[in-house]
Amino acid sequence: MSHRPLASTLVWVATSLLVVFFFGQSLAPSASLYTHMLSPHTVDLIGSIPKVILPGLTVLVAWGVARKFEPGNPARLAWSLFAVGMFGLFVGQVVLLYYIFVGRGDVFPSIGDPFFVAGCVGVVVALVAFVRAYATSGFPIGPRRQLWAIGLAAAALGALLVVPLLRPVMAAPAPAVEKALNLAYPALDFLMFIPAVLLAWITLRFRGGKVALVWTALLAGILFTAAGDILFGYFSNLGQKGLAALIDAVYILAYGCLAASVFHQRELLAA
Amino acid sequence: MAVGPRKDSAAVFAVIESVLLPYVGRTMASTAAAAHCRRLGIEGARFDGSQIGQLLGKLSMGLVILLGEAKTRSVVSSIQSAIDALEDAP
Repeated sequence: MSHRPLASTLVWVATSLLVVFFFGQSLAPSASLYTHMLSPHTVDLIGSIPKVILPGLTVLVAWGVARKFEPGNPARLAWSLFAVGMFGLFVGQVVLLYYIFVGRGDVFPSIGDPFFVAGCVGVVVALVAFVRAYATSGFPIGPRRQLWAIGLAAAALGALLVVPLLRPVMAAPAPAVEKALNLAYPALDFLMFIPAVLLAWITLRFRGGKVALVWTALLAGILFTAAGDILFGYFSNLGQKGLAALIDAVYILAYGCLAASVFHQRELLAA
Repeated sequence: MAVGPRKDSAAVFAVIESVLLPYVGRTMASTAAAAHCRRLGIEGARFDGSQIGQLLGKLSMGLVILLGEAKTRSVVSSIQSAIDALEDAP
């Protein structure tokens, strides 16, 4: 069956509308749309429901994509691992949505956190599997030594970016579990960053093609997830409540990019 | 031993590039076939059927990782048809 690009287009449109909505709230929190026309609970739901639907769709479509690759194909393993990782993020978001539904607002730490951590680990492993799959494709993606150099440079750059951002989080007075999680998420993002940079480098060689579209969306999703995690660390540990709408916008953008990437891959596989 | 009619290698590369272009972009489309030829030790101004078969086999092995088996079959079949339609090289 052929998949027209309708699904990926819908994901991009829905994501864009939601991102504009929450960027608007972060810029003008007292606008009547957010204070009178919609209740705070409704705004919370508008922020939370897409964060469940988008990863949920990503899991289903990524799993379907993985099944379309024949057994033994390294892409099948990579897409399966990606689906499993995204499942962790999906379950974590379901837990957070439950808290919103019962009126408890943002709960942190919560029972969702082990799922988020496991999900992030799954995504890191999937990204490494994607790099390995590319490396076995035989396409001229660059000498192995060059890829190692880029990986090491990415590790150094990631450390330079993440360590200063984490200093205020480490210094802030917060319960141990909360602080550990606020350090764990950016640390996992750092681990994601290294294979993501390698994939970005490889993707540059495919620029202009449909393959690059899949990878650009996926890597943008990883980047925005990392940005969301760092913002969330500031939000929860440093009490910067004004960041809530921006965090919603960034996470929705991240999940939208990840969902769009799997839909683009499904379209690419359609014979 | 040469198998089947010979085709001009530049024309073969041009066909492969034009079919792969929408999927892998210009850079990869224009370099992939030449890179595979280097690895396979295929060179010269003309390719015979066996060399073209080896080259398409190698391309298929990479494409299945990006496009899956069904789409790869269809892409490689398009390349093969376009190569078959090329004039035979002297």
